[in-house]
This record gives sequence, structure tokens and C-alpha cells, in this order.
Amino acid sequence: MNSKGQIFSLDFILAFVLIVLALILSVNFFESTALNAQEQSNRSELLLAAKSAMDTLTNKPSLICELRAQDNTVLDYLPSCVPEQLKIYKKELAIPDDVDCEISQISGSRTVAFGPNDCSSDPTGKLNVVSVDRRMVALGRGTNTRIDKFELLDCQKDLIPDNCELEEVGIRLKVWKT
Amino acid sequence: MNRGLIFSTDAIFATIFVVVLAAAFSFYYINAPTNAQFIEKLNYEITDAALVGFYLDKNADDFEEFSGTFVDANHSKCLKIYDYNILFEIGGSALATQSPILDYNFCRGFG
Repeated sequence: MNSKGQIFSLDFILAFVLIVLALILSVNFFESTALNAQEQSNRSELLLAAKSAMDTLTNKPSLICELRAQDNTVLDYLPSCVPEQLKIYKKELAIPDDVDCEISQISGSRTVAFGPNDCSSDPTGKLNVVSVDRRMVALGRGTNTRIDKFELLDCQKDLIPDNCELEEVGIRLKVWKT
Repeated sequence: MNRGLIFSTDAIFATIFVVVLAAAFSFYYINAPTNAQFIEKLNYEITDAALVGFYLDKNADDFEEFSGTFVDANHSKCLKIYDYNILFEIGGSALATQSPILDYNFCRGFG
């Protein structure tokens, strides 16, 4: 049967279908790649915010323990040493406004209280939640951050048994886009 | 049936195979955590453990994830904490001296 024109040949139809399929597949592929890249970028941004916030929490002088001499002068600040009652302000931790967060204790026998705390939202049902865990010590004196040089030495060398006011705790920060 | 090469079953299978393989590779590379992320996490974990150990008189063996000696792995890191020993006390207060110096290793590896 050679009465049909060239344009209606079976080969043309097959080629047309293949080209359409290839186009659809390519568009889907590039769309999913772009979506993945966007998600990855969001995730990296959140991870950076969480790490930066935890770095601030463990290193900022106004948040961590003060090492004091017997004459009450400040000798130094102790990184990764926080009071057992932690004040959490998103702004102080440099968490962006479009990022929501939840801070919690994940380990340690001493209970760390968070208050006042504007980082207490519930991440249930949120997509792309990033969490960072940090190990630190909590000073058992409420909001007081002062620790005497010899008190620290007690903890380090166990000079007076069971006299140490520092205890290991694990703190988790979860962040997500609002 | 004298169809061209591009319409052969082999060619279609080969095209599908290449597309699936390319998609799988790109998905893996986009989503797989990079070594840099692992190394950064390692840095945090070791620094935190070393500081907690320094404050509370713990060494690497007191933490189950860490070792006091270098870990033979693709990515390993050790952090050394130097501490002073205490030699005597005056009036009930301990004095630290600069000698002898003690060092504690905190090592971890992965891969």
C-alpha cells in the first residue's frame, strides 16, 4: 500500500511519539533536578543557621559560664558551659526571622530549663527540618553563670567528691522555614 | 522491515537505560551528604567531647564514640587537650602547676 503520503508513514509516527516522549522525560528530569537543587539549597541554609546558632550558644560570652577569680574578677569565659536555666532569644542566636526553631534537651541527668524561650515552636508536620546536636556542660545555679576557678578545678580533678556543679548535657536545636 | 537504527528495540532500550542511569547518578550526587559535611560534624563532635572531658575529668574512653588513639579510616581526626597536674594544696584550695603536663587525645574516624 503505497497510496499514503510520506508524512503519514509509520516511521514518522513512531519518530514523533519518541520525540514527544523524550521531550516530556527531559522536562520532568530537569524540573526534578531543579527542585532537588532548591531543596538542597534550603537545607544548606537551614543547616548553616542551626550550626551558627549553636556556635553562638556555646561561645557567646553573655550566654556561657564566666570563670571568676576569688576577688570576683572575670578570668575567662568557658565555651560549651551554659547555665541550667537558659534564656533563648532567636535574635541573640542570630536565627533569621523566616526560620522557626525548637530547642530541647536530649541527654543528661540535670534538667536544663529553657525560659524565657522564643525558640519553642512545634516542628510536627513541617518539611525539611534540620537538627544539630551539641554536647556541653550545664552549671547547676539557675541563671547564674559564674563559676569560681577552684570550683572548676574541683570538677576537673574531683578534689572534693560530689562537689562539682557542672554536669554533661546534650542540647538539640531544630530549625525549619516558616 | 527495513527500519532505521534509531527505531530498533535495542536503541530504545539503550536510550531508556542511559536516561535512568543519568537520573540515578544525578539524584545520588545531589542528595548524598558530602565528605565536607561529615568532616564538619566530626569537628563539632570532637571539640565538644574534648571540652566536656576537660571540664569533667573524662578522657576519650569515657565516651563510647571516641578513641584515645588515632582511628585508621578514610577520614580521621584527633584533638589533643593539654592539662596541668595538681601537686599540692594551700588552705584547702588546690593550686595547679605547669608541670607535669598531661595530654588527652580525642580521636574519631569514619569511612
